[in-house]
Amino acid sequence: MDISEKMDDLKTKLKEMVVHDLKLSELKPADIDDDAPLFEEGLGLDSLDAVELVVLIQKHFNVQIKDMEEGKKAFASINALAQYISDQLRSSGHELT
Amino acid sequence: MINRFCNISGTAIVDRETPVPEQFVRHLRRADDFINLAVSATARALELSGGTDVEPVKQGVFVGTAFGPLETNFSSLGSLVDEGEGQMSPTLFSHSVLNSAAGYISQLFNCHGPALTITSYGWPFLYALQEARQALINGGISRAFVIGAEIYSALLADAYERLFDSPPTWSPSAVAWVLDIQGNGPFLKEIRITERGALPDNYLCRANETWHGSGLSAKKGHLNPLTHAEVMTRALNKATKHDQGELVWSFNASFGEAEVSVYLGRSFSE
Amino acid sequence: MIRDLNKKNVAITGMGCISGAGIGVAANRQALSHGIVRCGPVPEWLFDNSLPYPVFATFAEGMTEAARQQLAAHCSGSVLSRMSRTTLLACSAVMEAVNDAGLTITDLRSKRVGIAIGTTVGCTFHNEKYYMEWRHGLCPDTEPVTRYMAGNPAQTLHALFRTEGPAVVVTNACASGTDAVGLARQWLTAGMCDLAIAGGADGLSRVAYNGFVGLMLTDRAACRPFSRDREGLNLGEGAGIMVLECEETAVAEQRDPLGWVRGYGTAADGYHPTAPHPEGLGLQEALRRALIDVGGEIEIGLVNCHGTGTRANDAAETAGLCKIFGPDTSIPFVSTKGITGHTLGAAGAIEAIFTLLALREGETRGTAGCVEVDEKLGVSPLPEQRTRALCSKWGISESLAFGGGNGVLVLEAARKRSPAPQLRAIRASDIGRL
Repeated sequence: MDISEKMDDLKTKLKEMVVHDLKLSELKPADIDDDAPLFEEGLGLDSLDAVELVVLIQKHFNVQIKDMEEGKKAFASINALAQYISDQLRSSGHELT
Repeated sequence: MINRFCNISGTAIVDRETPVPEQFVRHLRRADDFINLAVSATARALELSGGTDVEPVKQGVFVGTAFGPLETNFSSLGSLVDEGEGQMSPTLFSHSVLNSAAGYISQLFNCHGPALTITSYGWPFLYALQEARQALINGGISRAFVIGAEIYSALLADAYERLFDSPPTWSPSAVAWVLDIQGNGPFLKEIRITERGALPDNYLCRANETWHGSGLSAKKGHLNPLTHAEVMTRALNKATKHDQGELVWSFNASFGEAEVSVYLGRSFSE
Repeated sequence: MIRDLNKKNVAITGMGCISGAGIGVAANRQALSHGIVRCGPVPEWLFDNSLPYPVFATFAEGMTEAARQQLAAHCSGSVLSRMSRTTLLACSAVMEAVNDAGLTITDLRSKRVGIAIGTTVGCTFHNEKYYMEWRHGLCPDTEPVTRYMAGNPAQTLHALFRTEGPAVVVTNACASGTDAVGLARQWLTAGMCDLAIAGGADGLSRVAYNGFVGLMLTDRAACRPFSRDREGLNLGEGAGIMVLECEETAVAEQRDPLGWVRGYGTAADGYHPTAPHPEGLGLQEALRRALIDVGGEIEIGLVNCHGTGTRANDAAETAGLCKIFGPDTSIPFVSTKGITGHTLGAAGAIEAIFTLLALREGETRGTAGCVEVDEKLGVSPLPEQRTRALCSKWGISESLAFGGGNGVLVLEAARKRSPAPQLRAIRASDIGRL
């Protein structure tokens, strides 16, 4: 897989995680727009989902979001989140798989 | 003294088969069985009460429970053990607190008055009823949602069976009463509860718990922390159709005694 | 008639307190007046932990020797032997409060005693070992389940003392201690008991600690309520207990009131499972209800806030206070969580006691940990370096909770008992444990 395929793969995983683990059962992962905001007017997620996402991302990707200032940037959209995870992995010497 | 302030407007008993009201599904996406049962019972009792809208600050929520969201407590314990320090699911943890149902009900039913959760192994619903009655009498609210909810857990059932050589007689269930300041009865007249401490095993198996009074019945040996709420609810529904006068119920157990009296509508209006 | 019931005066005739700040009311008062902050890493004797968030722990035994000796002499040994950490802490404070009121356990047996205790983790099943063994299909010894069933502090206290009367545990999350005092006051005015033991207790637990860390609400340093640079709360443990009686009983039996619970209000945000309403909507309503409950014009001399040190709580709470008292009020607003940490179900009761202590002294210190007040807050709380003389004997103690609950107590202090109460010295052995 080249890097853009890996990114697409990551975004798909993230969407599945958001729908499944945040219990958005009325949504299908494919319905989530890559650029749509995850919070408030977008998917309607809230502060409790935000801290849940922090734990989920640590668990599934071993990437730590150390505070909500960072979290706010990372959770802007699926695109932003995928970019954040791949940047963090790269800076710690890991590759996207 | 007969008081006009505690009209029992609607009651409901629900179990896990009762569906969650459609309009709340999205709001309940994170909710567990404890919350779902409490919400379903409240919605059903409110529907049956046929009550008109009440100003949000004049509505209060009173939940009584023995075990609360015990399964979610274990899920969050599991999440701590499995995921490790600092990685416990915040959703599970925040939904494992005993007042989770009261929080959801105040949000979904627009209650901006008191929200109280009482935990007792004895008669939790009676305490919730008593505090609701007091709040209505004091004039702080004009409607109270009183809820008893239990979901138990497989862990507790296993311990019960090993301790007492027989399985417990319980299954997840919730009872809700809507009390209003106005109405045509029946009226909640008085509640008295006296507790004395008991051995832990007695709270679990409720040995020697008995009740008597107008229309109270139960399956033989069917004893759990919600039974008192269920038998009162059934007796009330049976009585209001044709009876008049007063219902007096008394409860006895190793951990204390309680008495509840209810005036039926017709006698009151006379 | 209903009005008359409300006018019944509920007096506070005894107080007991244990927290990370000290063992006993006097030791807590000393820590408060000197701004002593005793937070540190989670002690080994509490639970295994490698995370860097400090806590305010008490001491390993949980129950003071003084309380244990009295209980051993007069109470059921089997109850005493299987109490949870929360109930042990509660007992320390209960025995101090009962003695402070000049009562003995035998005295309690001649009264209808109402027991209302607020707690969060005090009556949940947190035995990880049992849970893990059970989950793996083993049949662990059922002793932890029996202990769990003995874990309701209110019912356990009745069993211990062999007393009778109403008994509830209030589980309104972080407002539990405040609501337990408010509820017990209602019992007394409604004639449901002759005397009430009311307050809150919570032992530190690994589950709650990790839960708050997961919610990203804990600070890696000592907490800084209302401060511009605040980063969260520190958990603490402890218990605060009041002996409450109707004034006429106290006077008839020659017990001097330390003060009175004059008003109580509670209201829900109905907003979110964990976040407070940003405008403190429920708090505003609870404040209104508590002030109406007082039933007359009063001048508030002090507001002891919830002030946990989280971004969201302090902003929402001061927004609510601003709506009630206005942005320019001269009332001092303080938080004492910089001294005790957030003791969850105990907090409201410990803080009600602290409020009464300050009202009796006629002076408050500023908020420990808050050097530079966050100017974006709705009101301007008193910072650490300042001390303020209080203009009245009336004060407010308030709590905000998960699930959107808010509880408010209005307290009035009695003039000091004469001769002035002696500071009970902290024993050297107790300090070593802290």
